[in-house]
Amino acid sequence: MIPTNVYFLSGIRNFVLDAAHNVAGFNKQWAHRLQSVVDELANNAIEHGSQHGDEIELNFTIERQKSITLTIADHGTGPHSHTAAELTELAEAAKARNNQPTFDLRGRGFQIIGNWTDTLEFADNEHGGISATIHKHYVESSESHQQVADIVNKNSYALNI
Amino acid sequence: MALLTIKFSTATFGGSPATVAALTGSADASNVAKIDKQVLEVLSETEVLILDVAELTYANSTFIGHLTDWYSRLVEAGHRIVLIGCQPQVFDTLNVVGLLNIVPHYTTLAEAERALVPIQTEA
Repeated sequence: MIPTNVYFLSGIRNFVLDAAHNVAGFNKQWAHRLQSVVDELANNAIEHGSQHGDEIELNFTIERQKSITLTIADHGTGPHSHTAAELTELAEAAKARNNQPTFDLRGRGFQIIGNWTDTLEFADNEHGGISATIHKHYVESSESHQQVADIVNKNSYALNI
Repeated sequence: MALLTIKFSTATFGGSPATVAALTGSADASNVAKIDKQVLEVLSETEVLILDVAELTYANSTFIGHLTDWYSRLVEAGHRIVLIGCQPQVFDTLNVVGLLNIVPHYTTLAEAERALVPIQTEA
């Protein structure tokens, strides 16, 4: 659980970058991409789905050199809370833009998430908020210097924050 | 909180006065509004905004939204914005949202000048 304050997101980003690269074994490019995905999802959960003083929940499941699954849940107490169906529609429209630019101030978060994950699903949760789940399969690394073996000795790693 | 600083300096770009805005740190929802305010203050006074992002290590969609706004304001006034020195991870993010299709980007200021400033030939 983390407080609904964007000031905490840099710590989450650092954690995701480290976990994606050193634990899951993704190359640095994909670790950076997953860092961005988590930042965008958490930012949406805080800004749209939560009121100040609330909390959001992050749940990671990492299977080394197989996949990362992440769920971010809010409580739906924010000023611009959407339903899962509405968010699915928004995300699909953003992904369909591919890498075409928009001149609006907003609307790029789902473009980033949609392009850099294999699946993105929204569900209305029991708290009255949204649970957003992304899944990314392992991408074969082209880096020759990747050193992950000394970080973890087990094949599966899960963390709840 | 992510740290983000901006430092302004003046330069010439193809003979025109230019403002160089050098960003250092990570640009996200916690700090971009402060930078936006500073950039908007100089936008009306500059013909060319050179955004030096060589020391910018992270940029999220909030930053990109503001960058697009700066681009739109400058273009509307007949001015221009040039992006210099993107790190790979920042380049990747700007690229996936299509920003690099509209904002010119170069490795160095000299390279940008060579590409964008017409060569003056003697009659």
